[in-house]
Amino acid sequence: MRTKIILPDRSPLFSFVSVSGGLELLLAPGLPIVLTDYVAWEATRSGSQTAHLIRAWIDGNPDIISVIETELGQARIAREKAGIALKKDRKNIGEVTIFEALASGDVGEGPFLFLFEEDKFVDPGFYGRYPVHSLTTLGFLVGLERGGRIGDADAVFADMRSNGRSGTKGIIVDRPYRPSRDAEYSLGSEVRPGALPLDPAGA
Amino acid sequence: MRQFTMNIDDGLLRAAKAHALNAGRSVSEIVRDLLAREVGWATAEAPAPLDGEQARPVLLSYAEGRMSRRQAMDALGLAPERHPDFVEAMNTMSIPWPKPDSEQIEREAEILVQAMLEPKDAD
Repeated sequence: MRTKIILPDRSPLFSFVSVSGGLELLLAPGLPIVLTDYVAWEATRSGSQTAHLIRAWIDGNPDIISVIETELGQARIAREKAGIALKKDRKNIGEVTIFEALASGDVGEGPFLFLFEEDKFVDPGFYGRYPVHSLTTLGFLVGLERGGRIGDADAVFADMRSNGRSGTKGIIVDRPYRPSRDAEYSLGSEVRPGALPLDPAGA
Repeated sequence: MRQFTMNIDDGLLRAAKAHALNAGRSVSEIVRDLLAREVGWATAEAPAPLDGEQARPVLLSYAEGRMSRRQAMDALGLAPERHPDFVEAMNTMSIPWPKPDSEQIEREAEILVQAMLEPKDAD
C-alpha cells in the first residue's frame, strides 16, 4: 500500500496556504492525503479568504484528498454550530478524530505519515499494524527538495515564516545549515533554483 | 496598528484636515472608519494587538525551544487562527526562530523521499 499523508490538525494547512501555490506543495509527493471532518471544519469555519482557499483545495482534489467523517468530529461540529461548544475543549480534537478514524479502519491501510507543524511525537505503536512516521513542515519541504519537486526548501520555509508579508522579510529567519542539501538525491527532473512546483502526480 | 501611506490631492488633504478639526477627530481616524465601512470590517471585532513587552519573554522561550508554538500562542492568548500575528510578532521583534535539528530534518526528508519512490500502483 502507498503511504498516506495524515493531517492531524489544521496548522500545516495554514502554513502552506500562506505562501503562493503552497497548498499544491502538499500534493507534490503524489501521495494520498487524509484529514478528518473536524480538521476540515476547523480550517474552513471562519469563512475567511484563507478558509475559502483551503475549502477549494479540498473540494478540487477529491481523488487525492479524503475527508473522513468521525463521530467525535460530527458531534463537536454540531456543538460549535449551535454555539454551545466550549473553546477550551477544542484542543487536540483534530488528533483525537484522526485516531478514531484510524482505529475504525476508515482511513484504510498504512503506512501513515503524520504532518505536524513542529516536532511532535507519534507513538509508533498506536496502531500497531502499519509503520507510522511524523514529519514537520520543514522536513516535508526538504523531502520535496530532495525529491526534485521544489528548488529550495529553505526559501519556501522562510516565506511561510514571514507569511509573505512585505516588510518582514530580511529579518532574522533561521535557515539551518544542511550540509547534504546538494547531495545525491534526485528523482529525475532537473531542479531549477527557486522553482515551485510542480506536477502533483509526480510524473 | 500599522502605518499606512497614501497619495492624496493637496486640496483634498486640506479639506480633510479642516473637516477632522471641526469634528474633533484625526484624518487617520476618519480614513480608518471609511475603509472599515467600505470593506465591511468591524472595528469592534478586531483582536487586541499583542503587548510587545509581555510577549517578548514568551516568544524567547519559544525561540529557545522551551515551549512549543502552540504553548506559546496559548500563553499569549492567541487563538490558532492568529498564527499570522504570532509570526509577525516574532519577525518585528527580531526574535530568532527556533533552530530545527538538522539531522532530524534530514531523517524526515528521507522518509518522504522513500514514500515518493513507492510505485503508484501500490494500492
